[in-house]
Amino acid sequence: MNRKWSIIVFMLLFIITATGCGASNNGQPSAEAPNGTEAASGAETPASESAPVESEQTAAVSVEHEWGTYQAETVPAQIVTLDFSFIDTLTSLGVKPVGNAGVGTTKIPEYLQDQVTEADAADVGERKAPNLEVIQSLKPDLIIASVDRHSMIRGELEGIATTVAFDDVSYDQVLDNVRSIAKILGKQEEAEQVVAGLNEKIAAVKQRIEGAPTILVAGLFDDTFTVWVKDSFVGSLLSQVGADYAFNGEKDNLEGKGEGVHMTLERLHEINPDYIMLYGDSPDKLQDNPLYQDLKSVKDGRFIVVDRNLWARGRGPIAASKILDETLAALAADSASK
Amino acid sequence: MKKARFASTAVGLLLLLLVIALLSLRFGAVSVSLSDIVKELLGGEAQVLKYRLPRLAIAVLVGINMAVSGAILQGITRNPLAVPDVVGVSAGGGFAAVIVLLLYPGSGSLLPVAAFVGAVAAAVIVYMAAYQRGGVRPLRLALTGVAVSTGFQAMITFLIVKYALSSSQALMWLKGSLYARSWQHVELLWPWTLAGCALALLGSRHLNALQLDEQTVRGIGMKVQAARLVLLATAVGLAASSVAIAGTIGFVGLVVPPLARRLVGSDSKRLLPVAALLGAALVSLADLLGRVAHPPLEIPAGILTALIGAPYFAYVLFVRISR
Amino acid sequence: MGASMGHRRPDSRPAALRWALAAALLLLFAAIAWMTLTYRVRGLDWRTLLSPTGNLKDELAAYTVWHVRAPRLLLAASLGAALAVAGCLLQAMTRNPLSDTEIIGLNQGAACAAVVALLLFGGSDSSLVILPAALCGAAVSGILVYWLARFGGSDVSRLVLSGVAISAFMGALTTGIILLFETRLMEIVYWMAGKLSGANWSDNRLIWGIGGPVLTAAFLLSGRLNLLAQGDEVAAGLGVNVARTRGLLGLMVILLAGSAAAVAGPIGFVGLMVPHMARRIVGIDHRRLIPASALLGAALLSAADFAAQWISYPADIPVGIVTAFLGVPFFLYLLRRNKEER
Repeated sequence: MNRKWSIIVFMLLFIITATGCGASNNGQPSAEAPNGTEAASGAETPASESAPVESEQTAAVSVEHEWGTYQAETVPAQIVTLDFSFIDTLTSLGVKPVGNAGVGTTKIPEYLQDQVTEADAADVGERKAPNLEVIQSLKPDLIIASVDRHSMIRGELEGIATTVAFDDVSYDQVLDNVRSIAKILGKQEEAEQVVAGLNEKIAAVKQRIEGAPTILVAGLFDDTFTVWVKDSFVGSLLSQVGADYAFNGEKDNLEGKGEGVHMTLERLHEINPDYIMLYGDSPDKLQDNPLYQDLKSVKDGRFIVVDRNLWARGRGPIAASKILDETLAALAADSASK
Repeated sequence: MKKARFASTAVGLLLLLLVIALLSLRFGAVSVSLSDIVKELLGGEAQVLKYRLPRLAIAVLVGINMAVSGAILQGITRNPLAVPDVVGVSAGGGFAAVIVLLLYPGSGSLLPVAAFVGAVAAAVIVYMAAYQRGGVRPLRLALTGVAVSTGFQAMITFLIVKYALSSSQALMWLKGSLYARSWQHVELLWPWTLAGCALALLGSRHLNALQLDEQTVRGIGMKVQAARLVLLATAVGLAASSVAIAGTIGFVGLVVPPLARRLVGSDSKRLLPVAALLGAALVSLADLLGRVAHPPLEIPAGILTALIGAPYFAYVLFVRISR
Repeated sequence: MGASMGHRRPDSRPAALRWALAAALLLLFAAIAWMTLTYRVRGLDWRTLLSPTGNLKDELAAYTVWHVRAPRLLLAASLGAALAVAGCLLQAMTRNPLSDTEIIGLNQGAACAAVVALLLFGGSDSSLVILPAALCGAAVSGILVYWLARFGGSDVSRLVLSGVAISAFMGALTTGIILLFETRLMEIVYWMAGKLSGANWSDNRLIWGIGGPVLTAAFLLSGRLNLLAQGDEVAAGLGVNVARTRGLLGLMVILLAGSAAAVAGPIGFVGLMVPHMARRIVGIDHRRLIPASALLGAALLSAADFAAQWISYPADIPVGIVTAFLGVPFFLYLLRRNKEER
């Protein structure tokens, strides 16, 4: 009996030691903090396996990103993008990635499908859980990841190829990313063209807008509205054109970047913005609802139905451009009817 | 006679496991030919296998853990409903994981520890709440476990809804998948598997005895409480470590022990190894199917074990009863 | 208060006290109702509520009260009553005070069917699709659970077992489908937590249409339920057809819980908490227990919905989360009390 108990005690000690050793040896690859406080260490070690990096000579290109600093001599040719805003950015710069991660059955965002087909960019899986095997089989020399979604597989990604990570929530961040990515790809000129084009459109929309009207973007599903917050992509984009985005959302979103908040029609009525851009279910079923009829935007004819795939999920310079186009068209129709 | 049966079953299952393992290595989003596999195993540069081999290892370990844990729990409490997932281990682990992800986003290495603690805590709550003088009634345990699990689930949903966690990878982990598991996870898990199985086998005599009804057990003069507690701790440790590494992989603990019992009888010395092999085979198979069903999308193994396990469970239970 | 929960002794409280409690309950309900109807409604004025003027502002307030708040309040009350009585019936059926409709798998079946239907038929109007699908889903899983349980004999634990199996299966199926088609199914996650926003009069009519007859039938069966609580053999000896009664009860539970899930998504714990609270007040006689549960359930869910609406203004928290928050501690407390019983 005593012998048995001593065996048990021994076992327990064994587990604790073994687990302790295992944990301490291998705690490194996963990041502790998402924002790169480290210098080039994040990017350089795996880079020595795959991407062409000369460590002695001064690197030709050096770009800061959320997980460190990217340094390289040559321009990467095989790029895998792990989120919509990145494939959008690449496409706007005239580059096609060899692989992209999509959502569900949407591999390439709809508004880009005329420019990039599935034959060009292989499917590497869900953006929440990109298939590492597939990424590896594409033999990329650069992976562009999103800080939000991929910090947990950072180690695995860096083990395949040089990885850069960006935040892509607000419009300003997306613009910064366009410039950073362009620097990596050596396409700074194209980037400036893209940004200039966007600024033109913003100016054009600004002209059309009188004063600073309040505006909201929302999705209708069943009977609740998902309202985007001011710091989201569409929110910040619309703020740029001089509109007053009417909903700021909760400040205490810890995991960050809460995108939409659920509201009933009653709440929407309380906020009552001048413009409402709606996607999702058709608002026809709300016709008999006097709360709906009483909305300022409905009365003024400024309740506009927009494309869901673009407004809800679009992110990146091309998406911004198309959203601005639609906004301009809506405003033109608006002033035409006055 | 029994011995021969046990031996043949064990060997058969081992072969089955080997076949599944080979298929796992061969198939997936990217096909690897057999010659490549051999080349890699012999020490070449591990390409695809750097993902598949650790995954396979974890699938086997998780399968063993959950099956043995279920077998122990069912033995101690003398009823087929006592399984780790039903007693709230998974939900507790998930809840702890979500909290940790909220407070320290991106901390991959803290997660298993937190999940482990949460899982154990939940199991303790459920067990203490369901325990009554004289033991734990099957129905009461199940209902308690489900209620506590549901409660944790609701809190998880609340946190997810309020703090917009849907864009992060927290949910992927919670669903019970072997995605992006690497050798570091294997190293965290195997000591628990080894120790747990060893303890279980050492205690198999006690386990057998505990399956008799209460008076007989007392009569034998064994240290009932101590044995029960150690075995219980073993079961919870096995389950919690599995949940900590791979999330909720359900139904293994529920389906496998009865099946193993059908194959080799109730003697724990034979039941536990067979259950372990079956569990390993089931989870590996589930992971394999999840990877090849709709590549490059990976369906988490936890979902597949429920899809395979539930109908089988119904079949086993009810066909058996109606005899 | 007695030393035990009064499970075995007949209720010993004087009738006057019970009536007082009932009155207090009704007052509480009235208070909740008042708050729900009028909290933060702009431009509210008594006269315009009852007799419409041509003024738009008043019309809006009237509309808000009568067509937004009132249906929601009534739906919460009706669902609360339906779920509470379903819980009562389930607990009588399984002779176990810890049963709840969550574990029977109806909620998961409803969710699964809703998800599949959205995928196949979803178009410009999700509401049209979700409700009938959820109803069918709850019915199908209810039938499955029931058939499985009966197939194996009428032992009570088999019902729970099959419930667990069906829940897990449906749950896994739902998660898998959502994973594969996430683009189209993003918002369903909120529905699956149980929500009452967007309640309208047709939802109410559905619940009344199904719940009304069932609740009445439940009340009429009280005698048999009392007998059943004594044990199968005792009941059979006293002339109760146990198997058939159980069947009937099962059907009633499915109807109540299924229609609730269809209209508002899965809401749990009401059927667990309320019968216990009611039992403490009026004892175990089903003739009093069922109406008491219904009232208490109505009050509880209305209060929970009120909290869900305003706690996190302007966002709407699904009411199922609030009931779970209330339910779990209550359940644990219950277990500790129940320990001395056996």
